[in-house]
Amino acid sequence: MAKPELLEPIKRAWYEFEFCPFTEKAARLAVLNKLLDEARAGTNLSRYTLQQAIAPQYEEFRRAKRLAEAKLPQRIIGSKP
Amino acid sequence: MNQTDETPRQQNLSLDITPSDWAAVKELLREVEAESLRDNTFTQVGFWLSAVRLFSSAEERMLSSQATGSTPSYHRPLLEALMGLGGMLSLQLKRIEETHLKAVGLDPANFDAVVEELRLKHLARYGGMSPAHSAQILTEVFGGEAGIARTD
Repeated sequence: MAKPELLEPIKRAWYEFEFCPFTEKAARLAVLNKLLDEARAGTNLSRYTLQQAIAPQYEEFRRAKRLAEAKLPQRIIGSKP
Repeated sequence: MNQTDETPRQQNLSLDITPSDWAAVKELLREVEAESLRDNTFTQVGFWLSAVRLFSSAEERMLSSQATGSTPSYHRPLLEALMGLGGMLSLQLKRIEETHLKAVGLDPANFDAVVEELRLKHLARYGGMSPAHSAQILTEVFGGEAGIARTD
């Protein structure tokens, strides 16, 4: 059965894993892997195959999020009290 | 006074080193060598993590300015070199006792996760999955909407 509700949390978890501090890497990876395993349950897909399929969407998600984060401080600096 | 008549102070020229003395010296040498290997590994780990950070920030700039969709030719070999060295250092870290790792605040699980992060980057960019196959998988796992979004 398809699990559309898991796609966004996987992309978020992947992003959080990529941009977290070194001391949190293993814990964040475990969260990402848990979500991936949940999504691929009942299929013959490996974790890597599923991640590869998600990768192009993740890259778009990542780019949009980094852009938004880069704009945020400028907005705060530029805003009038 | 005639020096030749003097009784030599050292009676035995063999130094009287017993097998247990040798064993202690060997043990000490082993300990010094192990410490030197550990220090060397920790230094390499530090350099490797700095290299990964530099690579990631260069990649970040590449991705944010990437209008054409092309990847610089140095990206793949650098990524693969970092992955290879990271894998080797991960093996070296597994040979170091936990107490020594704790002393420098290094958790090998976090190190392995960074190596995995590089593997995922490689897989995402150079895995070679076709857009059609990707869409098929996304549809199977997440439903029709996900697959459609992928092919846009």
